[in-house]
Amino acid sequence: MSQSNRLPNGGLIDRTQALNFTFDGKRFEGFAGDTLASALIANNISLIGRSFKYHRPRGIFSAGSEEPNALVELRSGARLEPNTRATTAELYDGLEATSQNRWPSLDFDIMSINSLFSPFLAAGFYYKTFMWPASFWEKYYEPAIRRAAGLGKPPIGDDPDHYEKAFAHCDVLVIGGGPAGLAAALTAGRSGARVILCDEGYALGGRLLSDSLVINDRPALDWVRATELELASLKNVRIMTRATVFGVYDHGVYGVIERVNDHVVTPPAYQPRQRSYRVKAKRAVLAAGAIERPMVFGDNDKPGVMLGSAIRTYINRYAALPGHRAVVFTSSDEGYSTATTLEAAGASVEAIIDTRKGEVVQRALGGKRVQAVEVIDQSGNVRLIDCDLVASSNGWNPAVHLTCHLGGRPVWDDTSHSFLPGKLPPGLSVAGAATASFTLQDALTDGYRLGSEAADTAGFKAEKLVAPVSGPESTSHKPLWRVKSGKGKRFIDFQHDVTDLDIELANREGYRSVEHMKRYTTLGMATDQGKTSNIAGLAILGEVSDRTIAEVGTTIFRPPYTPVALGALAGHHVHRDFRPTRLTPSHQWAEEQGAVFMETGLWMRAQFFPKSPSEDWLSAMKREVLITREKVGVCDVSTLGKIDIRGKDAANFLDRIYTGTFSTLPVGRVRYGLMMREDGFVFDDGTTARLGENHYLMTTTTAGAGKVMSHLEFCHQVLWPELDIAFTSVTEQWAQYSIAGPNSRDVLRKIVDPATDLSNEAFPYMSAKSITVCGGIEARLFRISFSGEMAYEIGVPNRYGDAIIRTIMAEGQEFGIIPYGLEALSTMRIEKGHVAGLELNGQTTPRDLGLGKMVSQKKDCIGKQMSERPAMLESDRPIFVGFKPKDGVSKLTGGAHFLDLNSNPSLEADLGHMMSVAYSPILKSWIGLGILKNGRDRLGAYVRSVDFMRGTDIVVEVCDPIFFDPNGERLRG
Amino acid sequence: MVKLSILPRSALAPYLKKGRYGSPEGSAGLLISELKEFGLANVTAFKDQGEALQRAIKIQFDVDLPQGPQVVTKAGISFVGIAPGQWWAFAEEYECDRFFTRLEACVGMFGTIVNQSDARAIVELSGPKVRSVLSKGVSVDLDERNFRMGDAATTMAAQLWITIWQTDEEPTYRLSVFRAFGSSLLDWLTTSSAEFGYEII
Repeated sequence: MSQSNRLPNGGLIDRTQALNFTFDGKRFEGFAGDTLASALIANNISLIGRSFKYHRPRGIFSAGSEEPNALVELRSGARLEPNTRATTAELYDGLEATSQNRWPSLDFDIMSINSLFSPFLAAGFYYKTFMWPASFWEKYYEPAIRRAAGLGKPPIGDDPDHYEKAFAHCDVLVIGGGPAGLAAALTAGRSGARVILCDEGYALGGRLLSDSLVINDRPALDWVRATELELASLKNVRIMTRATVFGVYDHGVYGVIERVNDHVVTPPAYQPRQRSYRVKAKRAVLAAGAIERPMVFGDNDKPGVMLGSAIRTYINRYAALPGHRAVVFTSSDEGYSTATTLEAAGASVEAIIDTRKGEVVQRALGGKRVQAVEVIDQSGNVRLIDCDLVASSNGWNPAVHLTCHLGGRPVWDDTSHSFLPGKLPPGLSVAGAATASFTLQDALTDGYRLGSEAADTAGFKAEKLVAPVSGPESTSHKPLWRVKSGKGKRFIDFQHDVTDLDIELANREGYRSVEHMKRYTTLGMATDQGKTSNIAGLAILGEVSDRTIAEVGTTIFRPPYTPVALGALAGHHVHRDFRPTRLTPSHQWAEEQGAVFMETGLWMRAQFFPKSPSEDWLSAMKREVLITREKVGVCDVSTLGKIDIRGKDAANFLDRIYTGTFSTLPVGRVRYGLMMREDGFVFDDGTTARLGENHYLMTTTTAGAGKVMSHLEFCHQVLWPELDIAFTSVTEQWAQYSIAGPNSRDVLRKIVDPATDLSNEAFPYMSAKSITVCGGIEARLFRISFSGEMAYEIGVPNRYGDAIIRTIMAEGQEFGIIPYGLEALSTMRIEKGHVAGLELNGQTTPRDLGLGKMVSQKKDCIGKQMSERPAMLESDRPIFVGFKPKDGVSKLTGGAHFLDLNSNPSLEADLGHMMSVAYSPILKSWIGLGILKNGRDRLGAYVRSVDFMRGTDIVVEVCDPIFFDPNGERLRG
Repeated sequence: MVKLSILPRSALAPYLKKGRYGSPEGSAGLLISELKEFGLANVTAFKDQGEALQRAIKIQFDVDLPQGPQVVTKAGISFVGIAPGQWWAFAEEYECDRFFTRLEACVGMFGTIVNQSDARAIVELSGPKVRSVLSKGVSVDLDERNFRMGDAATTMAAQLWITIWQTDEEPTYRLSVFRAFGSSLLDWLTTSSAEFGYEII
């Protein structure tokens, strides 16, 4: 019968809205307002899953986010979510849930045989059991353990939903929407402070949703509704439901996860599934409530054994009756309220076993559901009581988790028998049950007081309100940490299958520190972080090691309070939005040409321009190099960093930054510059032009642009604040193209305005000039070359970047112009022996790169002293040379190590390594650049080039690193 | 040299197409438009010349340079504080010569002026959900109690360096990124505003 355990009346469910769902493929019906757990209970389903280690049958244990047992796979396909707590999953029409950790079925699970081997599977078994023979580890043991381990399976395929990250700000953050939280939000909200109220559930009210209590002589829910209405009417209050505050961070920052659309089949169009917030709060009130503690007795994990408070929640809030014949097992007055609730709902309470009266339940009996309990009295008499439900109540643990996130350690309190918040995160106060003030009256009073205090300290003036009055409540209790008599496994941590005997074992084996015991037994290390289990574990460790709980101490909690999907932390930044992308001025044009792009840092740059779709990178590169060297090619070089440096000390500053001298550079000229780090290794390089007496334009490598700018700022602000200079990055202001090749000047003549004389005499190699192009557009022209050809770089304001490349191509057509990409650029620089990123790797000095002469001896500069340390100048320190395959055809590989022809590979025999390689279409051979011990003395000699990664071992000839036009005749045109 | 027709193109021109996108319900939550013809210069004071620069700007443009993350505007020209001793001078229309000439005339020896009119993409953002959209990336509190007309911030949003300032109490914001990041900026803005619906105008 459908919903056979649904009570005919009551509950906060909407009986007019029936919702269909499936569990393990079977169809059921529930109502709007149900959780998956309450709907399963209403349908009399008590077996939900199998346990982690022993595969024991497990049911629903709690009614909240502390649930250790009822973990299911929700949804399917790419949306599948393993280990979803049925107790917090809101029911929606079409919900699909599947039990996990069982095979072939939930009813019959082969791995439940593990229970028989439990003596071998105790705490730390994996450290002991799989030791011998060692050779079995990788082959047999590890794969077997891996197959058996884990809970649930991950989804296959990309998550089809999108997630967001956001920021929020408030004066007062209230964590928890129960009575204390509502009261705090109300007083703070009325003061005008900006308030954010977060609750992990979809409805505000906390325990008032579950227990029938009164406020001001009326049902407490009336007060909840009135308060909620008032809060909603305040513009300065933001109510966030389905929003868990999962972490506390420095400076009043709180992590919040909002489950925007977890309660529907798929998020509506354009909406995110979840959103993570970073909330910055001046003050916060933690009103997270408390979590009920279970009793530890034999086979206390059987489906049908539940927390007493959960039973009341299912009956009062969801009108779902978890059992018909109940035994209440309690150490507190709480048990009587559970019993009353059960009776009122029509269940029969078979017995109330109150530990304070000397009776205990020592074991639950039954197969896949509890059928009876064994009760033992003070005299040792055992009796059986038939039942299908056991309400287990052993007091409450304040939810102190968030107070620990900045290192606060909870403090044991003998009066309340619980850990109270220790040192609090700055700006946070704790209200209500989270401080072991367990009555509703306490919660209301605390909430009013702390809400108003928080508002006051955040700079507002809160009215001092008198808290409303609730009815009398008794919270007397005396916890019992375990029942030692009787048979059966006494579970402490249900999710990790940790029993009291595991704690005893840990103690016997010397793991007496609470931190060691936790890790040895894995107590509290499951996804529930031991919300229901930790205290019993600590108490038992204390008992067996003859210490009090206070002496044993506690481990502390880390974020997140409940599991958070990684997708929600990544937000928008997945796939191509993982990092932002920078597009060059010619990007759109290059796309139209069919360019293949590659990432260089954040930039997308054209790698090559295939002539036809079938042309691969190597053929395209060869063609681009040959045509550029024979005619003319154009390449977008806008990505190089450009820094405008001005001021009367600009020249002096550059002399200190660069190894060379820039104060002697005439206006209108360009010089190659090399800069070192403080430690004497090369940092970056580029050309710098002097545009005016006190005005330079520095260029950097593409990758180095940001760090060079920071370096300059650091040097100015920290090292030499007395210098009068100012920098501005102008990388993005200018679209810059390199036009290279024998015909470059002819192409350029078509672009520049007639006033510009491009002749060698007027504008020789290494010149710079401000000019106009295309009828008056300002431009900067540089006669510099990376390719070794006669080449120019022309910069125009970026708004003309797209138009100018189209113009260059159109005007260059008659001279045979082609665009070239990074592959051709790289090949041409290797042919010319220019160093680039692979050589400027942070491990090379100017001397190593054959650039020692560029370090001026007439002045000091950053890195000079350290680059001259003795070890840096040793003659056999590897030095920059070129390489060619001896056979003329073998491919060279970057990263290959050099060895003498007759030596075997070893660290001692290592002579250096290959840094850059390329196929040179000019030399029709692979060529390479690298560093080699005594390299300059080995010119013409042969060495082995060994690359185990790629499996190559070839003989290469050591040669000069300049393979092409060694005297630079071509670039001087 | 031949007479060529070479036309400028705004930073976001390839990516913006007018129209209503995202959720079609109700009025669009975010309105996006690109500022296309602005003039922008980075103004940095030389050592110990801050006050002199301040006076010179006051005489030429009749504004007090903001001494923090604020913006002041007069007759279509704004000054935005972006760092200690550094400002943006922003002209609604490029008016290149006039704007830069006037700047040169007053800044002169007290500091530097570097043209950045092409280095930045700037969008104007408004609409009933503009704050919600921006909160999905901007960590600065843009609430009306905290950030009003005349306030500015140079910060990060969605991994982009941005400078943002508010131009009216609607509120309307101007948000600027380096030009090459324009398409990433729009990816973030449009994804973040899709749930409210957005309009490109």
